[in-house]
This record gives sequence, C-alpha cells and structure tokens, in this order.
Amino acid sequence: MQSRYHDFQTLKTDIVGICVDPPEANAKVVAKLDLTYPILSDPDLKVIDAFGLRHENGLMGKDIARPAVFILDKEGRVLWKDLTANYRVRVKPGTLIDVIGAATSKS
Amino acid sequence: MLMTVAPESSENPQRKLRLAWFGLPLVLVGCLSYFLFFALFPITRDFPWLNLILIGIGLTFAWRSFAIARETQRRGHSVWHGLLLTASALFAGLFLFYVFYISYQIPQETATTKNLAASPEFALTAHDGSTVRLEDFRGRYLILSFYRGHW
Repeated sequence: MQSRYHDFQTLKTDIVGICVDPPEANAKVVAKLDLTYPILSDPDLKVIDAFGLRHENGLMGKDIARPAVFILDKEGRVLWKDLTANYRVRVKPGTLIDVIGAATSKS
Repeated sequence: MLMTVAPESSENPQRKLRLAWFGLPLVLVGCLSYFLFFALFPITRDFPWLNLILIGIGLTFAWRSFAIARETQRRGHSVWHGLLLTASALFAGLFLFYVFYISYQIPQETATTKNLAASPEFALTAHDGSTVRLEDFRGRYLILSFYRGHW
C-alpha cells in the first residue's frame, strides 16, 4: 500500500494499520517498512471485536485480528471490505484505488 | 554447479554425491527465505512460486543423491543420503502444509462484520505514541487494514 501512497493522497484517502502488537513493536515495523501511515495498537482487541475480527487462538495461543481491509467513506460508513480466505494473500492496492475512485466519481 | 560436475561424475559416482550437500540446504533456503524475504512482496508472496522452485530443485538433488548412493552400495552411504532426503522431504512438506493449509485457517466472517454499516468510534495508540481517533478522518476516505501482527 505504501507503493501507491501518492495515489491515495490524491484520492483524499488515509491509511491506518491495526493489530494487537504494542506501539513499540509497531514502531519497528513502520521503520523497517518505511511506512508513512500509522499502525495503531489494539492490545485488548476492543476495536478488533467491534469489527467482529477476533481470531481466537490465532497465533501461538494468543487472540489476534484476522486479516481484513475496510474502506470507510467520508462519513465513516463501510464502503467496501475484504476478508481474505488466506492470510498470506492480501488485497492489491490497485483494487482499493479503483473502489475509491469509483465512489469519488459518483459523488 | 550441476553442469560442471556432470561429465566426470558419470564415471565417478562419488563426485556426483557431492551434489547431496546442496539438497537439504536448498530446501531449507527455499522454506526460510519465504518468511525472511519473499513474503514482503505480493508477487512472490501470494503464490510462493520462487520458493517452490528452490524447494523442488533441492528435493531433486537430495533424491538423485540417494539414488546414486544406493547404486554405489557402500555401507552407510545410502543410510546417510536417505536421512538427508527424509529431512529435505520433511521440511518441504511442512512448507507446503503451511502454504496450502495453515494459512487458510482463519475464522468465518462474523455477524458483527457482516452487519457493520459504519465504523465504530475508536481511539487507539499509534506507533509514535500519539492517539488516533476515527473522527480525525471525517471528510476523508479511510482504509483500515487489520492484520495479524507479531512480526
């Protein structure tokens, strides 16, 4: 997603990552992958539960988030979502750009 | 490697057996490089074709070495190469199991997710210690990417 960052900027789109890791661990990931968007920490799975994404016993006995991508519109409504069937396979940035581009041209 | 060794080895199986040393390491490199490197790029991550090729070559080496070791009929040789082949096959099997089975083990979509019309409010701590809220993004599109973590 970082590779298409400028396209997302043009589309007035922000990106955040969310996982159960503590902020310090997320800081390392941001530095390692050179991300310009934030990674948020949800150690109690509060937000993960609010989205219904808890994966019980998902990783070495711990509860984690199942991988999922949501696009929220300007009012915070769910415009689009992807729940992959295989956690190694993620949605392509181009797909997200297409969805937001289509929504933008409609409004 | 294979090309330079092949001409002499037809007369001398011992030489060809040196290929054995590449079998297991190639399989290991094929398995581990996925997690350390290739998983970072969608083109080698979504379907791990590069890793499968490496593992395939490694397995072929290990298998050939075992077959040659059996022909030479030297005591211990075939046992040793059989062990190498077994270990190679084991690691290759684990990798395939991960790629084609384990990574599919995620829960079904929940009713909560299915019925979610709007994002719940949230306030979470970002990697830099700042607090990020849903309302910070009003008036803009927002991509929320949930992921497993524990990198």
